[in-house]
Amino acid sequence: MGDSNRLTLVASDGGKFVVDKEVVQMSVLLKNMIEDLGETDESIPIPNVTSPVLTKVIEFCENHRTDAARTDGPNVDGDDARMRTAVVSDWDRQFFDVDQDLMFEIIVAANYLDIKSLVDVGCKVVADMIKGKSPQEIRDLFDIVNDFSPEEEAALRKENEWANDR
Amino acid sequence: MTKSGGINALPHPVSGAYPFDEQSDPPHTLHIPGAIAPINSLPNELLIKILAQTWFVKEYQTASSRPSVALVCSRWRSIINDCSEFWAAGLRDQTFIFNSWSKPCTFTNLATLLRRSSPRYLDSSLREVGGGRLSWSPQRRLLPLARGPSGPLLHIGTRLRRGRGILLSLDIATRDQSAAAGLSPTSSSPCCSRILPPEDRPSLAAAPHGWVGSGECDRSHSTDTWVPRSPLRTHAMSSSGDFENIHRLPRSLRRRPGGVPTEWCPPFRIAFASHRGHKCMHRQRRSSPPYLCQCPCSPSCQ
Repeated sequence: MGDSNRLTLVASDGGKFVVDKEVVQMSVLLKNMIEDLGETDESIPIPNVTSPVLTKVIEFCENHRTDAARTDGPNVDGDDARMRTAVVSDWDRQFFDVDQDLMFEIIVAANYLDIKSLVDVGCKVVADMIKGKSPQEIRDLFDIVNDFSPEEEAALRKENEWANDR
Repeated sequence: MTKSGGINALPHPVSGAYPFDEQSDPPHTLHIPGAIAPINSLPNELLIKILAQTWFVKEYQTASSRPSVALVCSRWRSIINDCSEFWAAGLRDQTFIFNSWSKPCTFTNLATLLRRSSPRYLDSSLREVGGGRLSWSPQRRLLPLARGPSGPLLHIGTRLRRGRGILLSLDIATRDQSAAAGLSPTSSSPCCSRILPPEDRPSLAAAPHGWVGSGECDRSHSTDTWVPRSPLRTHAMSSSGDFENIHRLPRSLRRRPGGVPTEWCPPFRIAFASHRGHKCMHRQRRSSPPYLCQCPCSPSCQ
């Protein structure tokens, strides 16, 4: 019989992670699973998340484990208000200072695991990267292909002129 | 390009094309422009969360209000165009000040933005000189953007376009603020007749501009809903801003009590009717009250 306060998560590539239940409970998905399973030694498979991503997610949860109690209550403010008030600390910024593939995989994994604080912080970090940049700068930053034809682009610019006509 | 091995390797006699060899030719991948970018691996719901925050800037009055993110790629553009939440994010918690130098396009642009944003996200209140009449005292009035949570968008665009010269400002608040103040039009209560203890009374001080609260009447309840008993044109105009239908009414009906259909006057939730001389709604005359409470316990609660 293992430690009842710890459980094992299995990533999609087979990587195993032994973590505190308290840490894992930041994820609404895992929290519900634990409640459904009850006291068990079985490991929990997380099929959509790879080991590198799960490592980062666990790192975030361990760092923010004290915040969990604060966000555990009923969500009275709603998604929108919570997003607006989400605070991105220096630690969070450093946490997301990774290559873009990993950064977006973390956000997608957080969304899948339903870790609201990680989703909020991730979205805010990306939004800060976008703010104040021109379309071309945004394309360069995220390696996005401009799939507008020259005619479409000209039409879009013309359409948007009204906004500047003030 | 040459192929070898078997009859399948021979070129087509007419087209000259070589047959597809599954082993040597990798299957063609469907090219989706912009799909390679890691950010485009995000589902729409997450991308909207991100883009809505880039738009959450208070620069409408000084800079371009159409975000540059709409020009990045076709996927982003279509997401933005289809998502009213995105547009609501750009407008919320802002106050637009108007003056006699305001260009007509100011009102048009604002009306366009409001039309794009879903009414379920925003509440707004207009401040206009004398409520459209000749008066020196500015008056705030609520202009709900929709009849109920999923109702149609009212003609705020018309109101804005015609408002040049009399409009002073437009305050936009989020629905959650109204709800926090206990004043959300989406809230409902089985009864509003009970006398509330002070701690249960709605915090009208926190109400967005445009709500007129009593603060004193112990029977005021956040879910009090009132409709005019015999609606006049002014009732419909002040409560809904539904000008277009009202102007289609025969002139003889416009000023007659009850001439305006009651459904054009959506229930309002103020404790005081400002145009009734700031009298509490609960203290209106008993014999023929001009306003009726719409809660299930009516008329006993009146």
